[in-house]
Amino acid sequence: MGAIARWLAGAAMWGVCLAAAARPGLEFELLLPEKGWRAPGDAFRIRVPPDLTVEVLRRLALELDGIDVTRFLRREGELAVFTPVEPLAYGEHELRIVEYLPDGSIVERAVWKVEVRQSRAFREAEGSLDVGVDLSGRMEASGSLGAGGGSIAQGSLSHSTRIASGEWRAAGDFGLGYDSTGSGSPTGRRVDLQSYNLRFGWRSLGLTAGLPDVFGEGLLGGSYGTRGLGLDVGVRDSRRLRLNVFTMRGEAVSGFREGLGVTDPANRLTGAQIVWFPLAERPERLVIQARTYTGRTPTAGEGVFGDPEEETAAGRALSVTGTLLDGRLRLSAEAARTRWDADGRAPLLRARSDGAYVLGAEWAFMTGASTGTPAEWLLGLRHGQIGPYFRSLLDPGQEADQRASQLTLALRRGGFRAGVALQRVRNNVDGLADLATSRLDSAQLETGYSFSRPALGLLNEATVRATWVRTRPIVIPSGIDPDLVTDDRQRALEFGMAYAFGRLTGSLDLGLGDYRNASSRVPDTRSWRWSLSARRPLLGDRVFLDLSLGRDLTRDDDTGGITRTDQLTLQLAADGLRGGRLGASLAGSLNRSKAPADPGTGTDASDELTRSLSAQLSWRVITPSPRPGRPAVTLGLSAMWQESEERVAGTSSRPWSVNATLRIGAQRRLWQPAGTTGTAIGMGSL
Amino acid sequence: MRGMWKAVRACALAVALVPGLWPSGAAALVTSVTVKPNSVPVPFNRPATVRITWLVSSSAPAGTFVYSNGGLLQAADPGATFSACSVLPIPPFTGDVATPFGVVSGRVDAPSDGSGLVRVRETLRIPVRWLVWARENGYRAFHYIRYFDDGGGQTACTAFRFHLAAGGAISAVEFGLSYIRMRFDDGRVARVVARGSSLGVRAEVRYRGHGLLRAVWEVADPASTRTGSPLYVPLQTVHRYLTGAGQTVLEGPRLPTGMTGLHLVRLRLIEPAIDAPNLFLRYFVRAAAAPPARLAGIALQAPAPGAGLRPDTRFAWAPVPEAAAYRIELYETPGGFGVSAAGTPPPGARPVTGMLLPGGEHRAALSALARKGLRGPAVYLWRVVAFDAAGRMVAASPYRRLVVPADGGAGAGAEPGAGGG
Repeated sequence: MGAIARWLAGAAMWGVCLAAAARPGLEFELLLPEKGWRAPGDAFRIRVPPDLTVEVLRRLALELDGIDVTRFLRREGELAVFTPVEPLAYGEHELRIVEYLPDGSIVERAVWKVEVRQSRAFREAEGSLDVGVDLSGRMEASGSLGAGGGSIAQGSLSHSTRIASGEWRAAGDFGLGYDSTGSGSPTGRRVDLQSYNLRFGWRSLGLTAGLPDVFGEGLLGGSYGTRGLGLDVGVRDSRRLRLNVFTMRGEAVSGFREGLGVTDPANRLTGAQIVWFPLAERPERLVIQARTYTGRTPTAGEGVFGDPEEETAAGRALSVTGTLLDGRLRLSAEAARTRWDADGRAPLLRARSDGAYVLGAEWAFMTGASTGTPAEWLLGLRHGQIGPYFRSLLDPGQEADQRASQLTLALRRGGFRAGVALQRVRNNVDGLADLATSRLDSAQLETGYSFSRPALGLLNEATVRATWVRTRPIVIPSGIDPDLVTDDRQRALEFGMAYAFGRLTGSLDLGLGDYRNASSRVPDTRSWRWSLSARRPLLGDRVFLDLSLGRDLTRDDDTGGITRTDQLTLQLAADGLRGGRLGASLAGSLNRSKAPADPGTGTDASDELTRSLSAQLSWRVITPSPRPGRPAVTLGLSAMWQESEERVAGTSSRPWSVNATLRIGAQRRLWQPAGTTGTAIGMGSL
Repeated sequence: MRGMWKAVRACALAVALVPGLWPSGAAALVTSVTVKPNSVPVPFNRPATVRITWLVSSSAPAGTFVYSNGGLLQAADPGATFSACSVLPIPPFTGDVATPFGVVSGRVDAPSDGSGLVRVRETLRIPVRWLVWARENGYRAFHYIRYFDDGGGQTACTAFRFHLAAGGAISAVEFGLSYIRMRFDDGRVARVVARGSSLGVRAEVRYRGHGLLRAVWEVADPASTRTGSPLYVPLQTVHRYLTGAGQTVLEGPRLPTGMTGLHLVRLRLIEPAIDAPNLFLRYFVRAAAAPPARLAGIALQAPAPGAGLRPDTRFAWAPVPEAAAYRIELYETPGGFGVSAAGTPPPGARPVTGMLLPGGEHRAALSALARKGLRGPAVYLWRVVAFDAAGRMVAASPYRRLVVPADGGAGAGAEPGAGGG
């Protein structure tokens, strides 16, 4: 009602200004700002045709990028003005005026594509440079923390930039780390590159140096890129035909070493992908993808536990995905083939070729649409096979020699959800007579509820999950010890909840498990676990208290031994107090991991206990404001104590240290135009 | 000629591997050695890593090292069994043949505690080329033979047997890890982040068989990295029983960014206890100009999660004190109806429709214009964000699901410019 009253009042004022006779042919006119280009916070000023009747004015609405902003229109003389409530992103935006017709339909009366720019010279130009250095002096220390020099320097520099104008754009970021001991570098350098990524685009073309785009999900893998170069066409402007090409190092690497990452032919993967959307409709109803790659590399690297032996492989894949019934039915198929040489280029082994395929169907439908809470259903089927010698170096962890089928059924209604997943997997897909064949059957049921208001004043969400897995041999050839073929069953029941009690939030998780194995080599076990987390803001939102604790127990039913893990963490942290100058934190943790001896593997009993306590205090002596770019200087004091015991071996250590730190940091915004700090909201009525 | 060369080579290997041929000073005797486990199946098409414990019976006094300088690899015919070795065994053994891979280099050792039994642990990496060669040449198993000595002049040896099994994650009766990859949450392996910012880490784990994975996420902060000898502090313990698919993702804890300088984060494997020296990442924390801005939460009141959009649907939320404007945002969900979709839109997603409302209002119906942007039947995610008078986003609600029927939820009677409550 309030909105209608405001419209009527404004329309009455407009009526005074109307001419007696309408002038045909006048349109709405969006005025450009006086400076000739539009900044992120600039208001939109629209000249309204003076011949519009009051009735028509009442039915008009304004939309910006799909958001109805009509409530924020105000009048300035003969102009309708809208000021964005937040600075708009650089680039293109769409502004629309629509009219509600008496029959209930909506017609577009005007539409503009507007460009928001950072300056007259650049559509977008922003960047930042952050530099910091810590000079640390050890005041007191013991144990391993007393080793090394008394004074150490560490620091970092990071830079990011985005520039765009006309049809070209460039963006990049990189980070350098400095450590006077060389620990910040895999090669022991004091200053080393941590990561970088540079992108340049012109029209539909894109170039990348750093982390190129690879393939994404699929049989060949390639979800993650490593250091390398990439070229893409039609991807950034969503063309119907898209191409991307990459060449990258096979293993993950950081630092200045290896440069662009593509100079070592023994550690390089190269590939290309074409994606074609043959139908012009949106959303896409048909997608065809073709992929190919080749390369030679080990599969280890930074942050990886893999195989340092070199392998050679090549692969290609073709996939088709189509949607029918207004997107409710999705069908997909993918076939791939690889050629793999297990010893790289050595002549001992010949390359082997093998294939893989996967078929999928997903059907989503709704029931009870006329009720206040419709039910959403999803039925999914998936079947695939990976040949025994199928190998993609883009996904080195992928297993082969498997055939798998999966059926899923899911339901959501209001806050309630439930799902069932059935799966069958078997190996030895070629039926090799001298190898055992096994089959796995699993069933998982999950149900949960999200409350719109906390139930019992506490419960936000609850989930229950039950899992059953059975693995058994199908064929055991003679000469193979049955004790070495998997024959087991597992059952698990898990419960989780998220709670909120006033400003205290957290979660609670419980789990039970039971594992039975027919082999004498692997014990039967039962397991229990629970964990609790809690978070509470204190003194506004600048101080937080975090608590987490939990216990996991696994009991060996054959020996009676129990493997136990306990953990407790408590942290109190404050930042930005005293006018943004004071920061402090206090943290403590306790971790205990206890396991009995295992005669089967020859491992000893173990009982590791680690307790730690740390405290930090920092005071910002010089703050960067009111002059942006002025370095901030902070004094800090930190203390750390840790007690580590191995109670079975009878060893322990108790290192501790107290350090003083002088920290100097500066941040500079690059190409920052003056006065672009946000815009006040204009409120009013027509 | 070839046979003579084989014998000469075998003798040379024995000389290299059998430590007892070299004189030493300590008077102690290695009498026997066994291995646990004594045999494992490994898939023939992927590399494998197994943890072996050699149990050496030795009268060596405490502190004396029992050692082996290298291992010998033999391919075994089907049904071949390893025959016990004497003081100076000369391979090949009955049913075994030499492989092209020869000696597996690497010394392993452990000090004696004087109890008479010394446990020498080894992480044996089995390259896939060994296994593929065995399949191509008709062999079904390998013997990995080590000789142990404590410098006393007498050695003993035994063989660890691994035999080929069909591929796939379900082939192994014993639990083993085949591949682990750590990444920060943006996919990089090294980062420079602002102090106080949010940083996550995850590990993609591939495994075979079923079993208990125990590991610890640990961090060494600048208090220890600046000494050159990093001291890792546990952040979170992983204790997970793995079955089924052969792959899982371990989401690590939020990494500490309160102290500037070099940090190291690692995933230390406890069970299975495999040496993985590369399972760590580096990140630098740099000073930030100001503490990172935190978004306050907005409690949603209506409609309920999963509710259907109707002509009389009203969006309601708890007011935010400093809000000068609210924006209701609706996002498409990926993947059909999104029944199985995640609870948040993909990164970088923009709302397809919504409404901007004055700060004094915290209850509204969607206008007909906003409803027109919805295509049913479909599921959308919606949320409310709040802006202050300076245009800064100061609060955001969690996302909720909204079911839009085939008619877009307009029905009859929706007001064109409906907005205020």
